[in-house]
Amino acid sequence: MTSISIDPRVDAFAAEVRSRLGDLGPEEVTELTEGLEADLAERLDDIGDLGDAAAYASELRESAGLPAQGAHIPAVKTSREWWAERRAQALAFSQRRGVAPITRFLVALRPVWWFARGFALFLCLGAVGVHLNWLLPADVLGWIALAAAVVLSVQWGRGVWLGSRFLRILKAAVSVVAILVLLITIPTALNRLSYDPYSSASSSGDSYEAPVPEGLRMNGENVQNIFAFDCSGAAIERVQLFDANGKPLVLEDADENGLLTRDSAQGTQTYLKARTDTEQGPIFNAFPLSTVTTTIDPDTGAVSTPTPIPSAGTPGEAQQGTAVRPFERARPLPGCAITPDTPAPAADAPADETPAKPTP
Amino acid sequence: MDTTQLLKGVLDIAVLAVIRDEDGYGYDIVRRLRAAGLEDVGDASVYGTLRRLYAAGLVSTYVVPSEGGPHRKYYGINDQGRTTLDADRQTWNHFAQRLGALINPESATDSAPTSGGIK
Repeated sequence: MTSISIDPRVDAFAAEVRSRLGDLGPEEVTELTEGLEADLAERLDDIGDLGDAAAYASELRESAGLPAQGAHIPAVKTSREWWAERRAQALAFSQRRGVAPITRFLVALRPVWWFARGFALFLCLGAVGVHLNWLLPADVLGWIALAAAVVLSVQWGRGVWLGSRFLRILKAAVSVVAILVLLITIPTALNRLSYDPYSSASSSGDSYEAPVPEGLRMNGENVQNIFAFDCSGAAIERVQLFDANGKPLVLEDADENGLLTRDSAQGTQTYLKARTDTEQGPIFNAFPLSTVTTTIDPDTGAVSTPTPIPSAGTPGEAQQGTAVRPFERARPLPGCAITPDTPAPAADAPADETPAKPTP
Repeated sequence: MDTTQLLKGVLDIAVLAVIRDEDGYGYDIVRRLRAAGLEDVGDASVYGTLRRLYAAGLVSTYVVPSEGGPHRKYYGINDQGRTTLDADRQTWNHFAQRLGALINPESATDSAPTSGGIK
């Protein structure tokens, strides 16, 4: 047996061969390369050359009946390996030249996601009994639950409190659910905030539509009735009003009996009534609308028949009361003689004819 | 003819043959094969073949420490290896005879190939 001296070339060559066999696992590498240095050293003594380590390694693989490097078993990959590969690919993508700044930005935003996930988790808790005040806790218990959820999410984000496989699966599940919850909640909340910033928690969730004010309004309040006065200031008994489009100007929608609800006080209920005794059907734009008052027996709740209100205007409406005018005469317009008997040129009245507040 | 391709098919039987009478370590076996005329055989091919024969249970191994140098791994044929070698020898002889008869039309008997026929 010849004595063997270790040449550094032998060590380097053997190391290279072993690294190229590394994917086979440590046991296989040991089996394949045990005594390799001795063989190489002897060959070096013999021939003076070791050749190419890469070719040596692939020849070793092939003759041993082992798969070539990197060409083995893609078909029997485990799901864990598959995920590891995807993760490695994603990581590589995130580190590309153009993508890396975006990656760093998103990484900086991770705490926001942790908080949002905790908040979504808290909203889920709302489904199992924690009281919610719209999106915020309704009581101390709720605030504690919110804090606990956020702390849990942040700890998960920092990589702690993930000791068991169950916890890791739970984290993934919570993350998925949180994304779904946020996708639903954020647009809803934005919609609500942009529409109704003063909405209190007492309102139910479906009140997104504006309550459209009905009827003719002035300074935010429904006009109670309309009284017309002519140029000279005398009251006009019946006047028809239309808007610029020729639509009849009406106060608000009447009920099926042609009644508009007005004051109710101490057992009486006052209505305005449109003229219904016409062939054209109810006329709602002839003002002033006449008044009907019913009395309600406070003990029995029985409603009496409409009783005419004492007329303050010209008598003539037998069945219905005439609405009480705020005043008998308005101030005359410039250029109009004070002649009550003269029919007023109502059609020529100036547009700024606002004699007085029409509030009853 | 590219003898390396031919060698691939017969390296098992060649390796078994050179350790039939005496155990050997890796490079020793390479040297014996070359001395027998298989000069194109690659070191790594022999080592890989030894590994495969060991995995098939045809050879046994043992490690011998050396003084002041790396230890050597010795290979020795076992009973199963001998049985396989005998069977393979018959197969090879049969095959070589047929092939010799096929490619040597004038005589099918005067050129029975030996292990040294492959170079």
